[in-house]
Amino acid sequence: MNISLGMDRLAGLIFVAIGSGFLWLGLDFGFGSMVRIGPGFFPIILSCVLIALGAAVLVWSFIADEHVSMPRVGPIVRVIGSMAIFAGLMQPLGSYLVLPIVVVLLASASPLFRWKATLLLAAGITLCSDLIFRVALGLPLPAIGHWFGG
Amino acid sequence: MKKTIFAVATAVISFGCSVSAGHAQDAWPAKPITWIVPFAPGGNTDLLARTIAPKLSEKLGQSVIVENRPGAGGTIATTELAAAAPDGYTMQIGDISTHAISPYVYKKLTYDPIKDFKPVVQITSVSLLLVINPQVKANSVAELIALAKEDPDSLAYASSGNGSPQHLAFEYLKKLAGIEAVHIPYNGAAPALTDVVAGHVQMMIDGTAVPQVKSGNLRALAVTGTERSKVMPDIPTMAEAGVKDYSFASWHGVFYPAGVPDEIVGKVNTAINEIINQDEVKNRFAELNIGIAGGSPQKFVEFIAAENEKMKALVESSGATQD
Amino acid sequence: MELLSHLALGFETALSPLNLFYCFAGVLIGTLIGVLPGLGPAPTVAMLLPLSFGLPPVSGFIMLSGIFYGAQYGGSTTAILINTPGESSSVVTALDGYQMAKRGRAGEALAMAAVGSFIAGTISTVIIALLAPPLARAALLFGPAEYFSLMVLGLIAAIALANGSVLKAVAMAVVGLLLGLVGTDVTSGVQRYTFGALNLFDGIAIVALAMGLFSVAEVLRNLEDRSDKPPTVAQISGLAAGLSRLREALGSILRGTAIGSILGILPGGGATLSSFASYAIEKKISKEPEKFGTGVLQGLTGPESANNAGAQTSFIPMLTLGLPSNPVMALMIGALMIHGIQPGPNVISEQPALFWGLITSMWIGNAMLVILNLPLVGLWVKLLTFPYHLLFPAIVVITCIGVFSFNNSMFDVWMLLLFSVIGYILVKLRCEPAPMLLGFILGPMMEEHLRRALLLSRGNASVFIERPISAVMLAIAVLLIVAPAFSIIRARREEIFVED
Repeated sequence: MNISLGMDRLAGLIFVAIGSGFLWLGLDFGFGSMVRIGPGFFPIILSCVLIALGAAVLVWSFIADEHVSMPRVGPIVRVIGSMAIFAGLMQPLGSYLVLPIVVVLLASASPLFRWKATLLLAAGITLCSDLIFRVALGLPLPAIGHWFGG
Repeated sequence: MKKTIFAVATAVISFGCSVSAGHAQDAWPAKPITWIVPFAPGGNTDLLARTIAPKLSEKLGQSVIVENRPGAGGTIATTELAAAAPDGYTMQIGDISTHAISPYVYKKLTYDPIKDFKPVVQITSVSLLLVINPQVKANSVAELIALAKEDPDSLAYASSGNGSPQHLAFEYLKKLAGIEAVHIPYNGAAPALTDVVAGHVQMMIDGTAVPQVKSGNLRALAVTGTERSKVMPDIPTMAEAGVKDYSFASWHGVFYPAGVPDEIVGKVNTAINEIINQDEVKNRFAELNIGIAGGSPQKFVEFIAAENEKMKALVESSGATQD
Repeated sequence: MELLSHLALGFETALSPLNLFYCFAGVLIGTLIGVLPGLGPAPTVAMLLPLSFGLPPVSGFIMLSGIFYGAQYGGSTTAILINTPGESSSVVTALDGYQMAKRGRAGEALAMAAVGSFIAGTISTVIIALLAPPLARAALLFGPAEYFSLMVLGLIAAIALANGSVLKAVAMAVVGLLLGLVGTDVTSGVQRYTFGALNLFDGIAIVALAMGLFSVAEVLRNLEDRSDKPPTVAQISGLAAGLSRLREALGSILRGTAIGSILGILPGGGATLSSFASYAIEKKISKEPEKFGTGVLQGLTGPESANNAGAQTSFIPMLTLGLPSNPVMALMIGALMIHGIQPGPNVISEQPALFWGLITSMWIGNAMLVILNLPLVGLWVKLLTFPYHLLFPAIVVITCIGVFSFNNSMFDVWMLLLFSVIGYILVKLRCEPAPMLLGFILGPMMEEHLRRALLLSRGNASVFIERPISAVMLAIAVLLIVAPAFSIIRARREEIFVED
């Protein structure tokens, strides 16, 4: 499958979409007066500027554009997923469980993934980060999560 | 296979529960206590907790760990405290903003400053200072009020933000003295005070201005509390300066989530009262213009109720409320 | 000479074996923590603040300052090596520094960054010793109107950060400005774009934004590289090769120092602007501006020097007026207050040993930083030869922890995740994140100062041109926009004449 999508075409569309979103929400804030500029003044003006710039990028994309290279979904999902596990499960599971899972998942995003080296790495990172961040610096990153009574 | 997993999971979960249940039966404190500071390190609130925590550890025989959880003017941590387990191992230092002002400024807050917490002890009572830039032609509160009445458009006051104690204290003054002044909010006390020292804004009510007054960068007209300041005894109180019935003080105190046993509250209250009444601690804070309060949990409960009533009215009349 | 006796007192204080030790310890710890991705100077100083409580005030303060410089330099190290700017000013360092590292010039980049920082630190320390009180007074001349004009000027300089399409760069800056508005509006107290979430009251955490857009996005980009080779370059230049290019970079170092020293004095955002401003100026006066963003030495040394000079002079408002100009200085004040010293205008006269000891220890700290880091350059460069497939999991994990540590908030880690995805999309669409980040920093300040200036002038917009400092800055801003337009027109005309 090969979808050809213009780089600037997409960028322009995204700018217009972001601008419209901010404009729509910004309309509620109140524009204010010259003495007392309201909280809506900047959002509305900036959103309109962004929509205009987006439109210009969009128009330009019909004159000259390059195709977006297709993303490789596998590595991205793994990296993003591992960050989600970190954010979502750190408090309940604790770093002794979460960090090895995260490191293995991350490492599996690389084509050079090998179990043995990765497990060593996971143990090293877990231990070092616990010593540096929890023990030495006193960050509230539990070693054992509250699901296990930590 | 499924059965095994289920059995293991049940075992793990019940193990977890039994461990946490076990704590409650032991004599408190059986494990380290977390003391949450709802603001970033370095400020007055953080300073108080960090000064008291090591001494509290000694007295309770368990380490007391100070944890900063800043955000949204302290309301993130306070919201979390309201939902924390009432086992006596999580406590928080709160202040006039988190437990008396913010609930009325931000209608979307989910905690109730009275029902959701167990007040432990009031630590401080901080009298603020009415300061003006020395270029302003007023040497007393009466002269300032006269100036404001003569030319209502000439004066502006700075505050550390919409709905901050500094903002409400000044609105209170405006109300009692019957004057007008434009409110210029800043993001924090330091930039606000900077602009008053520079003369871009004429005046402010704040508690951190003492060194600026001593050096002559600012002129102090009154203190907002009911008593004169120990650091600057020649500055009159608002009431002495002619604004009858005016009294405003910022404060800090320790809170547990509602449901913590009275016995634990009593132990912490006694320990902290002993600590803050040590001369060394008292004098150090006096130098920083922080008055020590102390007293029983019951006294603090009553104080909080009164403060909530007063601040609620002030927030409403100042228009600081946000949806 | 009064100054000499002051300096003698300062050296006497700073060179006592105890203080020398704490200075070194501070610089070392600061560097070691600061090199961890995501841990910039502010969280590093915040985490290590309690270490200073048990020390005598002067020693504690000297150590904290050492931690501050160390963390700053450590942050630059990782910005150069693996494109992970932990704070806004090292974003600029990463622009050309990382490109240099990718082209095998990591050793040169690190060495020159250290030397540039040292020169900048030395000069700005002398400036503080000679001129601190008058400079602090001068900084107070900057009111809301002046700040607004400065922000406008800074924003126009943002366009210089673009290496590709100017149109897209401007659009990205505007996206940044809009994102900067998220949170509580200071002037009215209204919540904007927070969807009722308490975690967004204070806006989007800058560290989540910066680390997502730059460091995690870079990891994703590297993983996508189909060649499956580690992204580092085999041939790595050493220390000596780097130092030999000092003459080339000296001009940019001095210019950066000047800019940093001036902007650093301004409370609130001045120091942040200095590295962006320096980059813009270096690009403007360069004979080959099109090469910026591909590893130009001056694009690294200028901003690094500006950054370090600004970091030094940002002590001035705190030491002479007791007014903190940024979060790190607020922490420093907290450190003094726990010892019962409330910093204010009287510190110089009441605590001369503290004041002059700190100033001399600034210089000593900078010297230690160079002595510590030049030998370490080789070690850091070796880090790049570490297999990337084992390095990037560590980068991602530490980045998550670093972002978490900022506010002890998992919400910020979710934001990091969001901005990593956005950063990756931006890379795909060849939209540059640097102008967006500058817009994000400047946007809220610009709006705040504009509205405050108009509140104070009772709606009279002419304040911006009636106040001289503000007028000059706006004039420069207009010139920056108009001048290129004119040169294009002139070029067109010449073309036409030639055709005739």
